[in-house]
Amino acid sequence: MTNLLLSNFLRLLKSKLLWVTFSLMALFAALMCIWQYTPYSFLYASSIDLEEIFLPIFLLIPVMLAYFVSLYIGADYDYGTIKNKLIVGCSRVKIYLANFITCAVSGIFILLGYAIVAFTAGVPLFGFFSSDAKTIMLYLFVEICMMLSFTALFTLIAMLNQNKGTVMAITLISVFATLIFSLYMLSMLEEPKYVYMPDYSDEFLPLIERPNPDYLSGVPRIICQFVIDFMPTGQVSQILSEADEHLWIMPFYSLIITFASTAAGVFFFKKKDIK
Amino acid sequence: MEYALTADNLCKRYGRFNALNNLSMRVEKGAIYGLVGKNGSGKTTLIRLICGLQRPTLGQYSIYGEKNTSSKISYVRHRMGAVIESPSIFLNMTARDNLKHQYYVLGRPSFDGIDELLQLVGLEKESNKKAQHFSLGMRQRLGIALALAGDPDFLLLDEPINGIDPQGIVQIRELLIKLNKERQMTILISSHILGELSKMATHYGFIEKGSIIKEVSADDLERSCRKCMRISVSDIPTLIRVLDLNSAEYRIVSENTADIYGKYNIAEIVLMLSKENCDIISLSERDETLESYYINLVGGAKND
Repeated sequence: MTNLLLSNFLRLLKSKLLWVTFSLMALFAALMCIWQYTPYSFLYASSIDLEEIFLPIFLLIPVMLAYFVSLYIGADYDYGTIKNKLIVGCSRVKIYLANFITCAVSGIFILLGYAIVAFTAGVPLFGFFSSDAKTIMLYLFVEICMMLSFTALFTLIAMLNQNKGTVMAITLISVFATLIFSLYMLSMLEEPKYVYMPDYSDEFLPLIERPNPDYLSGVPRIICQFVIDFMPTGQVSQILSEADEHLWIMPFYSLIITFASTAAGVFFFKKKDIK
Repeated sequence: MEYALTADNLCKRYGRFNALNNLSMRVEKGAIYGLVGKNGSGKTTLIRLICGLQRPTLGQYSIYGEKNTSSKISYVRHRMGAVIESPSIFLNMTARDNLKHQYYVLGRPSFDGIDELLQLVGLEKESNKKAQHFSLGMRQRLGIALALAGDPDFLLLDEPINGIDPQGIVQIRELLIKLNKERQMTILISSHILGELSKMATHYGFIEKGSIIKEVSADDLERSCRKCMRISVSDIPTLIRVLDLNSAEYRIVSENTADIYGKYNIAEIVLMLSKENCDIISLSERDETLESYYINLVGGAKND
């Protein structure tokens, strides 16, 4: 598999795709710093932490990965170069895993594109992280595991579908659709247990505390919480909403998704007819 | 007799459509095997199966004695190279980088031999030019270079001269003959351009509706291809009548032309036509070409 990885990295270095994606992330980071440093931002917060500059990375990474993976793997089908590997006897398992690893390493590189600029520009403007090192490392670990799960899912779609346009459409639509779904589920979970409602029996309509009919409890709540903890976009929605009490379990779910989707991808790719 | 490729009752089904239908064939080591068939006959499907891009629905094949179901087939594939349909090259990379990429895929320890390969296919001056700026012929030659990157013993080419200019066709033909003679490379080449194929193939396999209907060596083909007299006349029904009276074997080629096979007394036929006031427009001796042999063969297969 080393041969395949070397050939993949040679192709990456020669292609503009990685550099464009890296540059886009760097640009986003710069724009984020500028945006957060404007007087407008300070209307809503007395101070801005460096953590807030890094938060958007959780949303940007799945979008960038959807774009990158669909184009990178799609090019192999588009140009027909996947045939060159199969003809000379490269195993389908190794081809699949090499593509996954290449995309994962590229994902880390793309992440660095944002992190370097965000750190370089962010520290002088907003100071260092206000959270402790343990929390920062946990967020970093969650991000890397989440990135691996997105890469695994997008690699599965890209390796089983020879049309890169279709793959890009499916991956991008899936990211946004599942994100919207997750935000909806999160909003259901964030309903308070009790709400203040007017007492219509009293002419003065005093506000009294009553159980919230929209509050999710029992099994539905457990299921809902599990779904948004398990789904990568559910994890994104929780982190962006700073509802991250379950941060500790997210990497486990991400790794389960990574292994399961890679195993499924390898299984179906071995049976696929290449045209 | 050693074979580079054997196929036994290969079948490939796409839904309800049988692309390959109990196909059996043998490709001798060191041969240039011409696979001849019309569009949709199964040539590309067969090559895809042999190259491992797809799996057969039924049947099996062996490459250098190793069955397709064997775990060692991948080692045997290291001895293969192929260009299937269009050349598989990265258009955003130069010719040299494309070859480097393939060298990495093959696990070659160094890039030695790239310059020789580029020279072999006539791309040494364009080695640092991006493939997107190449003509079709140049891309085809780069595709062949990629197929040769692993020093294969068995080369499969699916219609490699489609869309190539006459000079390019000659260059590719000379290259393939050179590879066969100097490196004893076995070459399987599918092509519509029968005239070109006849200039290099040592063996032929005729494929129709997913089956090999005939396999023949070039020598046997030459022996069985018959000489004939092509005659063009002003009145074809009269010619037919005269030929039938003489029990001559013939084939009507067009509304005023026929080919007459076997031994015949041409003077007698000419006199009989003259008596019937049938003018002879032209008369020439012909050899049966690969094209006419194939058309007769397929026509025979269709009529079975």
